[in-house]
Amino acid sequence: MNTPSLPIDQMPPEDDVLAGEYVLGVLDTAQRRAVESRIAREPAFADEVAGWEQGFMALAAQIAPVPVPDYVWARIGSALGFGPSPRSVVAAERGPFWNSLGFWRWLGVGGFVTAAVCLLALLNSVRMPDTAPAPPVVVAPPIPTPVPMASTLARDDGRPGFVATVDQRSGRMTITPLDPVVEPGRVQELWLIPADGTPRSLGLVSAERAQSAQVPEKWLALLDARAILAITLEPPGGGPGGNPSGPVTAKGSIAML
Amino acid sequence: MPVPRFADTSDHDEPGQLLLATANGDRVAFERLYRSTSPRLFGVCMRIIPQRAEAEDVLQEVFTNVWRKATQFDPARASGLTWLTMMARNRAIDHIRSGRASRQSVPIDLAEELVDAAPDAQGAAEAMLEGHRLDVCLGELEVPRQQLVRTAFFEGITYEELAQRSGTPIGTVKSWIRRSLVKLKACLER
Repeated sequence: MNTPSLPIDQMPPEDDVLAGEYVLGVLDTAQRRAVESRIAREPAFADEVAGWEQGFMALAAQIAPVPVPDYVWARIGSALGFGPSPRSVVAAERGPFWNSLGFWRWLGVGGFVTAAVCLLALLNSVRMPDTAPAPPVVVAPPIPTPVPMASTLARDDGRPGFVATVDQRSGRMTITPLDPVVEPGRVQELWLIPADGTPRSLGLVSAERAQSAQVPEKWLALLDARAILAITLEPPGGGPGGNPSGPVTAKGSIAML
Repeated sequence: MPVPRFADTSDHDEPGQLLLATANGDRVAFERLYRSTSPRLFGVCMRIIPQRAEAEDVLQEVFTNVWRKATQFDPARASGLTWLTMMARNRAIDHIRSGRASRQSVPIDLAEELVDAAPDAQGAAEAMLEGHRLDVCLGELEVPRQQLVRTAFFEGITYEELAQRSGTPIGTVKSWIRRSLVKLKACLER
C-alpha cells in the first residue's frame, strides 16, 4: 500500500481501479487501447477486468431490451456471406461510392436499381390502366426527369419488395410492388425516414398495383441519400397516431440517378 | 429433479453454450444466439448511441465479430451473456469515441433522486445472481457519486464529458469515480 502524496485524481490509478475505469467506460480511446493490450498480455490484469465486468452486469441487466428490426439479421448474414444470394457480397465489395453509402451493404441489391427502374417503367406501361386517373410517369430514357431518385425497398431476405421513384422537382413519387410481404387484415404503409430518424408517413400503398402520390413539399428536402424508405404492416387505416407500429417488411435507401 | 438454478455455471449458461457451438462454425447455434440475445445487446447499444441507425450498425458489427471471434470466448472467465454484453458496450463506446456519433448533451443532475429502472425478468434474475451485490454496494455511495457511476456506465462517456455535463471540475469527477471504484471493490469482496 503506498500512501499517495498527490490527490487521487492526479495519481496514476492502481491496476484494479484502472480496470474498473475501463469497464465503467470513462477512458479515452488511447487509454482504452493501452488497457486492451494489457488485457491480452497480463492474465492477472485480465482477471481484474473480468471481475469488474461481472460486477457491472448488475447495471447492464437493468437496461430494457429493445426489439431489433428483422433486417439487421439479414445484414449480418450478408456481411458474413451467409445469404442465399451471393450477389449481396459482390454488391458490398463495390467501389467507394457504394461503401460510402453504407446502406447498400445490407440492401444487397445495389446492382438491381437500374434493372429495377427499367422494370418499373415496364410495369408502369403494363399496369398504367389500373392507376388511372394518375398522371403518366416518365421514367424511361432518353429524356431524363429532373433530379430523379430511385429506391429499391428490399425485404428481409434481400429480395426487392417495392421499387419507388421520385421526381424531386414535382414531388411526385411512384411506388410499385414487386414482391411485397402481405398479411391478411393488415395494410402496407410507406414511411420516409430521413437523417433525423423520425418516420413520416407517406400513406398507405397497394400491394397489387403501382401508385403515384404527391410527397408533401415540406418533406421534399428530406429526400436524400441519407434518408430511407420503409414499408410496415399496419392495422387498416395505418399506424396508430401516425407512427409505425408493425414490422418493417421492406426498406431501402435512396439513390440519385 | 435438479433444483432449478440460475447460477452462472457453464452447464446452465445458454448463451455460453451457443457461443461454444458458434466457435465451431455452427450457424444454427449462432442464429439462436442472435435471436435470444440481440434485443438485450441492442438495448445496451441504444443507451450509449441514441441514434437508432448507428446503434443498428454497431449491433451488426458486434454480431459479425461474435461469429469471427467466438473462439476467444472463455467460459471460465465470463458467462456468455457477460462476454456478449461487454463486447457490445466496448463497440458502442469506441463508436461514440470515434466522433462519428453526435453527442448527448443532457445535463447530469447529481442531486437527482435515483429512479430505479424496473429490470425485466431475465435481467432481474441476472442481477440477483451476478450482481445484486453491486446494487447494494452502489447504494452505500453518496447520491452524487452513485449518479456519476451510473451515468458513466449507462452512457459510456469520458471523464471530460462527465465533468462538463455535471458542471463539476474534472479533478473532482475523477477522484469521486476512483474513490467510488475503490469502495465498490472493497464492498464486492466483503
